[in-house]
Amino acid sequence: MAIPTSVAWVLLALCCGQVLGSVGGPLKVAVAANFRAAFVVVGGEFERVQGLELAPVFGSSGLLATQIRQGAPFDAFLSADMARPAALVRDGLAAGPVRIYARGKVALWTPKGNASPMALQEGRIGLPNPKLAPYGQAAVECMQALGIWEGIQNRLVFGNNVAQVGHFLTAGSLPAGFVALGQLVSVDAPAERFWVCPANTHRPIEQGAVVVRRSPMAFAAERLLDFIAAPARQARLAQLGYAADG
Amino acid sequence: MAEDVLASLTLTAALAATTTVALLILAPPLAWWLAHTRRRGASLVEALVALPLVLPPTVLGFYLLLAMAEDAWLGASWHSLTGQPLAFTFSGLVLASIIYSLPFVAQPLTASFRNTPTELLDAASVMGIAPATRFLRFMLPLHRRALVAAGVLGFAHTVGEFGIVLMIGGNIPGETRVLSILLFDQVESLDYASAHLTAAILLAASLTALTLTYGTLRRR
Repeated sequence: MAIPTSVAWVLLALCCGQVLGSVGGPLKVAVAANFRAAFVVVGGEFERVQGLELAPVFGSSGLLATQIRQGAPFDAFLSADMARPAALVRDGLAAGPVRIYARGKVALWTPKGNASPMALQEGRIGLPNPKLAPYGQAAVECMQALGIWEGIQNRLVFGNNVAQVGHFLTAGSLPAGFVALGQLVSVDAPAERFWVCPANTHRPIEQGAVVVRRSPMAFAAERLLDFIAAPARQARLAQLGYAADG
Repeated sequence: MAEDVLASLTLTAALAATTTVALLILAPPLAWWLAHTRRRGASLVEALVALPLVLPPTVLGFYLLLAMAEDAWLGASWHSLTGQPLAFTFSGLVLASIIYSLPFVAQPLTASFRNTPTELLDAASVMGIAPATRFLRFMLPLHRRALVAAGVLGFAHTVGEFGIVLMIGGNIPGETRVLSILLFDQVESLDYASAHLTAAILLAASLTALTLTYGTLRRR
């Protein structure tokens, strides 16, 4: 009798774990690499206020979107652009409409030199792949507007996303590169080491968020997006390297 | 789209060919030493050679990226030697590939060298046949199969390299954007039509290379 009873207990525990895991477990959020530092701050606040645990996964938006298409168990997706979440909504994989949760700023970072676009006369320059990364696209537009794109085009080193370019710069492999301002705020870069592309030199970097349709915690995911969109958090994001909600 | 694929295909072939040639020069003496030495430190050297088989490519990529920075020892000495940077260049990829593919070339050679009939070589030596001739007439034919296997495995494994190139390559067209990286790009940008083409090329080329090798090895 002893053995069947213990088996029953194990089964019961497994069932409970299953149920709790799908309902009360951490909210799994796919977050674009540029938003990592900001998400740690804002997400931490959410966990404290709402008492709900978050399990963020950081990566390039393209990869995260592909994973969601292949059935990755994410509840919400915070992309670096509007196009990828919009495509998920269009294909019935996410609930629309796409909400803008942040507006990015792109910066030129020279960890050891004085940052100025005019200092890009020589040496290689890190750029998030403009085909994949909205920050890379914005940096290209910015350099075109400044009229220096032609001169540096053949000295570019491409990162998969802003995080990889930041890593190349931190490792000392590159003297200069374009990253998200949000990354620099988190590493406390001194003001003379970076230069922010003026907003009028590139199209705005609007970052969109959606709730994944098959999420068993869609309600909680929706609450997270509401939380980030609230004026208090948007004001906080303005201190963390993102444009104030406009 | 097709130009992208062609550029990456040429680059991948050039990288794999350069790496294979370099390894076929470097690996045989090392393999011979490993096969015949009785020194105490030999197992450590053998372990070092085999290390890329078990290490995640990210470990190698991480160390190589730091070492290749322009003010780090490797990057700085390369720069003073050639005037060129090492990180994010074709030369940097060749160096990484040599380390990464070394076990695939060294191991079949070591195994084959261990089975060298030394009496034959001794006899040739006693008969006064010159070392160069001994090498050409005995060693090469004796270990031909192992050399072919080592070359093909080294080549194919370099073509299949991904993790390290992703970490130290910088995705530069014509310089470091090899086929596996191009495929990753295409998948991330949801360009599945191009991704299918690239993936099919890699699959067909690898299968052909391996089939031809096993065919050659089986026949004689």
